[in-house]
Amino acid sequence: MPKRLSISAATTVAVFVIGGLFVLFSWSAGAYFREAALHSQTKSLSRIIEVASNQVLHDIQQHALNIHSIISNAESFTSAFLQFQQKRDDEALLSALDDPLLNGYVGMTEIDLVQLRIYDLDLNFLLESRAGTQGLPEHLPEFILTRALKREGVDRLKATGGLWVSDHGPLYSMLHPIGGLQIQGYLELIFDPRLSLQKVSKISGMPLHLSSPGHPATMPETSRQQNEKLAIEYLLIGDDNLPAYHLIGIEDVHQLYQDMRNNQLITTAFFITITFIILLLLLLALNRGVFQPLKRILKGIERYREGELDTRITPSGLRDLFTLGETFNSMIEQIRYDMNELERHSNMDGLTGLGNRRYFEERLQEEWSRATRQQWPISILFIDIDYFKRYNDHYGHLQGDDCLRRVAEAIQHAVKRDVDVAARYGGEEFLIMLPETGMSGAERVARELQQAIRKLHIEHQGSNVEPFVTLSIGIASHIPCFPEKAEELVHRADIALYQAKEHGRNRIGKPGGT
Amino acid sequence: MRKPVPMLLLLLIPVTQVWAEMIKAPGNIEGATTLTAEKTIELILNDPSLVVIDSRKFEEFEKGHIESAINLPDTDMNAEVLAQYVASHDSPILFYCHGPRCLRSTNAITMAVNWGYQQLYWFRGGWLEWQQKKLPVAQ
Repeated sequence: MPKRLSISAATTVAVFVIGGLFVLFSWSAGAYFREAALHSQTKSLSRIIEVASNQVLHDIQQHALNIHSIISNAESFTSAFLQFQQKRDDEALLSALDDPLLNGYVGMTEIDLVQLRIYDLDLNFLLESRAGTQGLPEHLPEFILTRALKREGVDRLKATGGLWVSDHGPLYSMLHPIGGLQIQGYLELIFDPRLSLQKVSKISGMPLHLSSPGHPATMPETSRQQNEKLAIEYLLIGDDNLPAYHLIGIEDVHQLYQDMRNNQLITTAFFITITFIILLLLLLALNRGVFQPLKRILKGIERYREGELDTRITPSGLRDLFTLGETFNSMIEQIRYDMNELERHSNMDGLTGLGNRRYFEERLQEEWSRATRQQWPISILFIDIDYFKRYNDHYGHLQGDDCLRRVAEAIQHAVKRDVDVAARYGGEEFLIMLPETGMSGAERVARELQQAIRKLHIEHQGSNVEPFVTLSIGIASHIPCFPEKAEELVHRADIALYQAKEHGRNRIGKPGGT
Repeated sequence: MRKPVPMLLLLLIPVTQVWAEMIKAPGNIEGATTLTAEKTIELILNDPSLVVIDSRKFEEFEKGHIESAINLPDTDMNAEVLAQYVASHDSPILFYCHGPRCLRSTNAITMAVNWGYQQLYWFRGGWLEWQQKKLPVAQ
């Protein structure tokens, strides 16, 4: 027989597997939410960096306006520019341009002015400060040029500029008119935005790492060592639509991580506890409702199979199993009843309801061996209805059967004890076996039986003895000894009956005289 | 039961907004032409006889102003002082102050209208608009 899982084992395994899956699910859901929280944190921090860097760019613009206003309103600058225009003498103008770069200006700690340049009205480069950074690209960026040249009239007075990427690295250029409202030329202020962008760190509250494309971003040591630093990246795009800076804010998410881990642990622990409590309750309920009743039914069936035929189950559990238990019980009952019926039918004579010859012989064997052991006497009465053939001929078979039934009834009445057996031997012959009964007892039973039949007064015109039905009875009694056979006793009763018939019927025959 | 008081307060919100609007300088002043920054510059460049008057306080004027502007706060202005700067009642005068919410230039123009000046201009956007358009600053 192949190995098969029991329902309870399979269910238990399934329940725990499902429980495990739930716990796994809760854990991975926690991990997912952690990731989602981190993602949203990263997103909002990136937005903070974006806002901060926009603020910084705006600050640069304001500083540029201020510095321009300081330079262009200085008497030395205006006169030097006039001199340059009239005499092409650039010495005075150059020193006027060197002055702010050498001597500083308001707000120089927050902004890195690297070069000042002068252009004519058509934006042709004229000269640049000697104090500024040398070797910067010579021309204005394309987007400022087109923007500035497109303008006409009063609009040309408006300062313009922005962040752009030069070969030298990202720069912030601001182009201002020279000569007040009577525009004479342009002054370009060039800043290195690096210094100002450091302020992003202050605004966002995160350590900041700055790199421009081409210069790979150096990740700070801390982020490499610990996982609990979150690198927030933001790409700052210049006004020329080129990526100018990679801003990497380093956010310490130690606390966040810890909180999230704790949350996940608490949630998962809670989930595990709840899941297992539920599973336990479920298993308990299943045990009561299914497993135990099933076990009871199985045990009942087992007992039945092992031969305990009157076994019963106490029905319990869920309706189906309860019904199963009840059905089992009634099935057993039915089988038992059917078996009894069958047995009874196989031992019974159909017409008279007395035992049949087979039954008689079985019982005789049992009683014979018992009598042999106990040394009891055992008696047999061999009974025959007198002239029954004539009765049948005269009254017909139906009435003959009726007569047999009535006689059989009388015989049944004559047999008083449970151990006594009355049977129809065949035709109109009957047998009675009386265990633990000697000849005198057997004679008494025979006389009582004859008396009873006489009382019945069944009419019998064909009888030569009486005008009603009478019986001839042969009796044999014996205390059996091994290895005597029971058939011998029956035979002797038969002989006694024969003698009784010989002597005129309606009498009792005994071995050795009537 | 509903309390009617908060509901009434809610009704007051548009009213306060109307008040806030009323505090703003009017869109136009009778007897003066309203100008934008660009028109102001064109006027300055095209008419050398134009007198530009900055009606703000001196501390504000000092930090930056429109080129060729004269600082004359409305509180210090009277017919005699104005006459010192302006040649005749037909001469063009332009007034400005901090911005649309500033009433100094409005006051000044109203006074000038009363004193009989014929050619009055009002740069309504004032210093705020000037800065916003990144125009050259005189100091």
